[in-house]
Amino acid sequence: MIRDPRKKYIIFFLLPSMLILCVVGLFPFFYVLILSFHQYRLTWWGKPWIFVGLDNYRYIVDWDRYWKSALNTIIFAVGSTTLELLIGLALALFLSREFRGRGILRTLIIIPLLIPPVSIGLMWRFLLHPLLGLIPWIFKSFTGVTLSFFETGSTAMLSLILIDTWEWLPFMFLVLLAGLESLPKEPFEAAYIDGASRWQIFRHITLPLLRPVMVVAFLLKLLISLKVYDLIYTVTTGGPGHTTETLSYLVYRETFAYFWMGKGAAMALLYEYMIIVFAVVFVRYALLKARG
Amino acid sequence: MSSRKNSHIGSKIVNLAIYIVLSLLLLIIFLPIVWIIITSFKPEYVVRRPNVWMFTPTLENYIYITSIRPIWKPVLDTFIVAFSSSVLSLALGTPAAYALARYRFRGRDDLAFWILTFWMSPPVAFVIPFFLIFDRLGLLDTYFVLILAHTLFNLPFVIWLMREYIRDIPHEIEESALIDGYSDIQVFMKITLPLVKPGMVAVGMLAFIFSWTEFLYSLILTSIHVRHLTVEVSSYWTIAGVVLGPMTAAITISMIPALFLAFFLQRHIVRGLTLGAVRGR
Amino acid sequence: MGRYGVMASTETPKKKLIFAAVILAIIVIAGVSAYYLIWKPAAEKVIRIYMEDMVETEYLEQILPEFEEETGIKVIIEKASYEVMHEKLVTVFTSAKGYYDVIIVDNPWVAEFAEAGWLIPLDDFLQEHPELNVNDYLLSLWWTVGAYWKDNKTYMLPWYNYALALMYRTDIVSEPPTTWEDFYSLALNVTNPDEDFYGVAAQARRGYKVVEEGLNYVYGFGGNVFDEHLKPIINSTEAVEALFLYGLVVWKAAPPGAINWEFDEAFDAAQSGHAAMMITYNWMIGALNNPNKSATADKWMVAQVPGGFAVLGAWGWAIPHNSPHKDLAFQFLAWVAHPETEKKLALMGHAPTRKSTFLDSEVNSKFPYMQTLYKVVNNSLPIVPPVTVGEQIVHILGRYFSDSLLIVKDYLDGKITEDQAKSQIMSKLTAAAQEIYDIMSEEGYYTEVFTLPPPWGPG
Repeated sequence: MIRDPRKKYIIFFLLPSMLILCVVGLFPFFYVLILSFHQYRLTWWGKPWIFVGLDNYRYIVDWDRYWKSALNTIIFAVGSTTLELLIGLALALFLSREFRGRGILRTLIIIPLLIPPVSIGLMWRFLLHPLLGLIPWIFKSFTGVTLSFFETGSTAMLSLILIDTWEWLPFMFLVLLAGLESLPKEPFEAAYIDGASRWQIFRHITLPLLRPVMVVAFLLKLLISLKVYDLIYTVTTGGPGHTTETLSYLVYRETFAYFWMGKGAAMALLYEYMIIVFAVVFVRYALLKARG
Repeated sequence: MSSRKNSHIGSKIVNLAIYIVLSLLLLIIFLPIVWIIITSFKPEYVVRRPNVWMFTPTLENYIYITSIRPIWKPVLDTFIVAFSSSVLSLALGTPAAYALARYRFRGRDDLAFWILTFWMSPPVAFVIPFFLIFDRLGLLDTYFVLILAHTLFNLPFVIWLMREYIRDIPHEIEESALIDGYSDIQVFMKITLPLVKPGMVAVGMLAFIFSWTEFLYSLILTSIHVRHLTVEVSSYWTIAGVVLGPMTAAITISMIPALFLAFFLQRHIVRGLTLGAVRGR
Repeated sequence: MGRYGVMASTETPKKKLIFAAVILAIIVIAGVSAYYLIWKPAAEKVIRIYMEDMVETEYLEQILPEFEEETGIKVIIEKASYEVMHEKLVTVFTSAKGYYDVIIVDNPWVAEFAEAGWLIPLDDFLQEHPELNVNDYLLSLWWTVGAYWKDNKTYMLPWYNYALALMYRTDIVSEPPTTWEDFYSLALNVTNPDEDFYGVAAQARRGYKVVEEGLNYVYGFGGNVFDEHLKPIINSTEAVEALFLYGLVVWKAAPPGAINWEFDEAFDAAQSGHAAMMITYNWMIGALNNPNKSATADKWMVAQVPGGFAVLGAWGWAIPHNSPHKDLAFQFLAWVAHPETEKKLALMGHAPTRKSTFLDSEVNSKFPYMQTLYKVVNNSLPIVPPVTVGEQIVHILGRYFSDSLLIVKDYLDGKITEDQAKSQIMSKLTAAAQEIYDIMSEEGYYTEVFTLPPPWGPG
């Protein structure tokens, strides 16, 4: 139940965050917005921006590569986030029960997320080396088959998704674990007394109660996946061909490696608008439905 | 009662299956970590022979990263920034989440969405203007600027997650307290916060981790006085190959402070005081 | 406090703890920031260098004490990963306050930095220091990381080269191949997947790598990226033949997954005894024969790449326009670019840039293959001449070369004929040429007719 606002309290609670977001976040946003209507290369230092109106946006809309990357991005983001949600949920359920060593296990499980971004890609390149890597070596000892993970577009994308899942499981795990621990106890106690099976409890009590948190976690992690750059850069640089090139990779290269600031700004903003549209739909339907 | 017995055996099998699957999962998660740690103890001539397991362990990689390319300052600097920005995000974000969860006012959901849009933008687009402002202000290469940047990026997700966790708490408790005459702030501090502790700990840890592994802004906004771990570790990637020994040693050492913090905190992700106790039953 | 008594008492310590933590954090930050912003440490003579952490850097660090003693200047080298240097450097240049006194610039970035006015021209400095003898530098290096052809000013001094060369196992290959066709048949001959042994440890990852390797093939067939008037000519039949052959090598004579390999994967495959040949930086011969780094030490030899013309890459020293200690920086430059200094470094294993070093007898007796390396560097050309969109051109080629390799795979899988494959590759290269043409004209390279200096010419 939501109370009627006592105005001064809203301001008190919201003001500090809003202050930071506005002061620090709005200037860069307007800078990028204005830049997106100009042509400018950072190496034209000292020279004025050239106004080009909507040209940058027009160029991008016609640009095949942009839309192909968008598709790759969706595949990557949805694939990895879904996998993480499922496995993360399993882990959270497992580690929410009491058992010895639970504390240590819960601590150690966040390690993949602690590894610096560049190193993750690099270490997996070593681990997945077809001739020398640990994983193919183990596989070969059992089956005699040489595994090669990045030879085609689909296997490369799949491998990236798996690596990302390995890296981000702790995120889902933590969020869902906290969610599980926050659930009220009564429904569970009542169901247990009524003789419900574990599966029934899970399906009819845990899941529905946990759904809002799951949806928000899914959304947040999805948004993270849409920004991935380091993983792709270190493991495949968008290859083979153009098969693992995502929008975030494209935006990064255009803006920050080749310094076409105007075009890059337009690409970034267009990308953001697309995400916003998607998120509006997602929040309206998935989240509100989950809240019931 | 045979159905009871069958379900008992059935559930035992299901139990076993679950344990096996989950153990496999944990194995997959930890195998690469074990590889990192073992590799960090390998001497140079073995380091690039990944499947050699018999070797004389050496501390030469650790000596390298503590004397020739000291990792202490990056670890300390990164810890300071991560700790500060996560505490700051929680301190600012939880009240905001409370307002968004408990109060109804016009534009509330729009505001919440607008906050989330900061989480949607590709960071790379904004790093140059960010850099330019703080360059003019002379604040580059300070802890302050990096903490600010990380807090900016952490706030949206802190607010959104905390909002869900707060919503999970039944409102009746707060209602009774308000009826009893407590002010909104007292209710927030003394009732909501304790009950939402698991969420705060989890979100705080995540904010810490995001700051700990942030790369782009750490690279661009700092150079000499503040050294970030991610930038330091990235320098082990040279065009003549990855310097695997020191890099794995650096990763291993840098994990330790974060893990200590996590171990200390994860105890608090437990079901807190139950509602039963609250209602005085 | 009635019912809430329990909670109130258990919460206060925690709240206090958080409060204390926040206050502590603020104090620490404020204090440390104040220290750096307000109270500056006593000014010593210190210069900072921003460069990659390579073996070269270690050699430099070994002889730095001599410089420090001679001049009293302390040198701090900040090591960075190549992958992030470009982005970082550009922000450093645009900052009001400079951080680095001397930097290393990679050849694709030279024109970019020079045209933006970010590097201090060195012509006056060179006049004052004739002992640096700029004519001693190899011609291919001089116009790559030395003088800028467009305005004829010198912005950098060559530091080292990374021209590509052929590494081969002397116990498997008796005579290094001199044409790419021979190279391919030799590689195919020794490939034996059942024994995990392959002809070439290829590095065909999209991006810089595939161009760095593939362009050698193109050069060998007589193709090139630009003509001497900066018009893209990559879409030639020679280039198509070259890339087709390169594709055959990658899919049939190289280990599985080579399509995505970069240096690490290939080097490990070669040094651990899974490949007979590798095309890589000429000074890698040292690492391949080093028992500390290679399981096949002393089995490798270096030769020119088949076709006799290789891809060149190089780094040079430069001084940023906002260098905080310009005069100290110049002092450093005078020392590090001195022929004597290079000779000292070369004796440790550094890749030379001067004719005098390559021809020095001491250096040659220590490194018997030095004459081969000399030939390699003399007959090499960078991927792109110094133009302001160098980095971008490399990556345009990177994408289309990678696409071409996938086309060859389709052919090998029987999905298309050889002629179809070659014509598809031709359209890819034409698309590449078009993209290159577009950005070059956007940067104004076709408003007048430019002609590149001597090292460029028909490939």
